[in-house]
Amino acid sequence: MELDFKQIFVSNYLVSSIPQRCSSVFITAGFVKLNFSDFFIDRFELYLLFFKLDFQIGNSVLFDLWATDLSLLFRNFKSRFAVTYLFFNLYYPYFRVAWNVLPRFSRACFLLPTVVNYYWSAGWLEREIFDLFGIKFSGNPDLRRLLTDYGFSGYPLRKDFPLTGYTQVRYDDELKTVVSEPVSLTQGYRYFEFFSPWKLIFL
Amino acid sequence: MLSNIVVSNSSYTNSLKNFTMNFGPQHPAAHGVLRLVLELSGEVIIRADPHIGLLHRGTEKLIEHKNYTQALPYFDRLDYVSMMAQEHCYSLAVESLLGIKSLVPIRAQFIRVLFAELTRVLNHLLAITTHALDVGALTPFLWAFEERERIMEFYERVSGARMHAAYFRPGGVSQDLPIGILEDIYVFTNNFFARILEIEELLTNNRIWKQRLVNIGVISLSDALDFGFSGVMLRGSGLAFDIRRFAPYDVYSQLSFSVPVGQTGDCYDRYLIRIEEMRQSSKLILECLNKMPLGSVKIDDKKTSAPSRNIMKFSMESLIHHFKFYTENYNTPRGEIYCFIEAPKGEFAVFLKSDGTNKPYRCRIRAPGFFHLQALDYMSKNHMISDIVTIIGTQDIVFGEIDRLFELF
Repeated sequence: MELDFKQIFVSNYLVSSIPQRCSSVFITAGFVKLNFSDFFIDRFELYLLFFKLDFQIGNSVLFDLWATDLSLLFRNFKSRFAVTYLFFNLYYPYFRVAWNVLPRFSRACFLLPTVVNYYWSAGWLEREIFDLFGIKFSGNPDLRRLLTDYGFSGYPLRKDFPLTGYTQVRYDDELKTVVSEPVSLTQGYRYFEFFSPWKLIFL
Repeated sequence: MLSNIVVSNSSYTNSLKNFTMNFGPQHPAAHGVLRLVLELSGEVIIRADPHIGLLHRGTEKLIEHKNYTQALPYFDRLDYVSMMAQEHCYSLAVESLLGIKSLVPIRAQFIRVLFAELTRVLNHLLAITTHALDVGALTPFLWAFEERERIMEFYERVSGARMHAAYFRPGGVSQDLPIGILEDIYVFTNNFFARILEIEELLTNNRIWKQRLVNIGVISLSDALDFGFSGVMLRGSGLAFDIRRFAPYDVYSQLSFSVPVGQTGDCYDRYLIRIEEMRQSSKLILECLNKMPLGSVKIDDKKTSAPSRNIMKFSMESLIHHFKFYTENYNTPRGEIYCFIEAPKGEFAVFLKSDGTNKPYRCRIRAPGFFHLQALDYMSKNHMISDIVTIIGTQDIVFGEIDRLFELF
C-alpha cells in the first residue's frame, strides 16, 4: 500500500497535537486512522473541537459515520462496537481521517454523545446507526428509525441478528391489511465454511 | 396524496395549523420511493421530512455473508442508473485490500476509465432529463433515453447485460472488449456532441426552464461542505473539487479534462454543470479510445482473478484455480480500506473491513445521495411545492443508493 508523504505529515501532526491518549495512528490507503487506547467521554468534545477549529487541519467536515459490530472478531474485547467518524478536509483532500472510537458501554446502555451541533451531516448518520445497531446518541434532536420499517424491532446490522430476520410481512386478503408473521423459509441459507490449509501468497 | 386535512377553529381569530401533506411514496416525481411529509402553509413549505427506507433491502448485511466476488453485483444495483461507477469503487477497494493495485494491467485501467466515463454520461442523461420531465419538459427525456439505449448496448456487448453488468472485477475487468466496439463507441461519441446540443437547445435558454430553476435551492459553499455534499452539488456552489483531479485513481492522472464549476449554487448552475460534464466525459472517452493500449485485461495472479474458460478446459492448474476461485474465493489479509471515487452523483465510497477470511467483515457504503437528501429540508425552506420537485431532481436522488438495497440473486 502506497504511503503518501502528506498522509505521514498529517498523521504525525495528529499524534503530536491531539492531547494524549492517542495510542497509534494507522496509515492505510484511503485514510489515516486514529486509535485511542481508551475512550473518555470527557475528551470526546475536545477531539471534535480539534477537528473543527485547529488552525492547521481544522474546518473538517464529517463525511461519514458508521459503526461496526466487533463481536465476531476477537475473543476478549472490551468494546463491542467501533464507531468510526470520517473527516474530510480541504487541506488534505487526497485521503480521509478516520477516528475510530471504541466505546465501552455498560450492560445495555448504548449511549454516545451526539456530534450534530458541530457537524450538521451527522443528523441522519446517527439516525442510521441507531436504527441498524441500537446505539443511541444523546442530544440528537431527531432520533428515529431511518431505514427499517415503521414498526420494526431489533437492530439488523448487529452480528447476533440473523440474516433473514425474525418476521416477514405479507398482505392478508381477509384482514385487508399487512400482517407480520415469523419468518418461514422453504430452504435454509446454505453456509459454506472454507478454511484452506494453504496460505495464499500474494505477488 | 392528501392525508389529514387540518380543521381550524371555528372562531374568527382562528389559530391556523400548518397543512401536512404526503408527497409519495407513489409519485411520479418522487424519483423512486420517497415519502416526503410536507408541512405547508398555503403553498409555501415550512418543513419537508423525507421518510426513506422504503427500498432498504439490507445490502450491507448481505455482503457480510458473501465472498468478495459474490458481493460485486450488489454494487451494480445500488445506484441503478450509473452501474459501473460503484463496481469501479468496489474493485479498487478490494484491489487495495489485496495489495494488487499496482498490478492491474494498463489496458484494464483504460477500459475501466472508458466505461466509467460512459457511465457518467449515462447518469447525467437520466438526471437532467428526468429532472426536466418532473419540471414539465417532456421531450428531452425521450431523446436522452435513446442515447442511453445506445450506451447500454455497449454495456451489453461488453458484459452481456444492459444494465447491471458486473464487468469491473477486482483485478481488472472480466473479459476483453469485443472486436469492433471501439469504433462504434467512437462513432457514438462523435454524434453525441450534437445530441447534447439538441437537449441544450430546448432547455438552457428557455425562459420557463430558467424561471423554474434559477435561484431555487440555493446553497452556499460553507453550507454545502457542512452538509457533506460532494460532486456536482459542491461544484455548483463554487468549489472546483473533483476526486478525479485530487486523488486520481486508475489512469485519470494521464488524461486531461476540465472541471466545470458553478457560481451561485442554484439548480440552474448544477444543470449547466451536468451538461458540461457530459461534454467533458465525451472528450475523455475519445482520449481513452486514442490511447487504448494492448495487453491483458486481468492481473496475472490466477488466485484473485478467474482464468479464462478455454484455458480452464485444458490446463490442470487453471482448473484448480477456477474451482478454488468460484467456491472459496480469495482470502484477503486482515485490514481495512476506505476507497472513494468520483461517482456521477458525488463521492461514492466503500469501507471494507477484512478479518482475514474470504468474506468482508463489514462493508459500509457511503452514498452521495444520502447526504443530498438529508439537506432537502434545508434547501426547500420557503419554497413552493413545485420547487420541491425541482430540488429533488437537482440533487440527483436515486433510491437504490440511499436505502442501500439488495436483490435476491
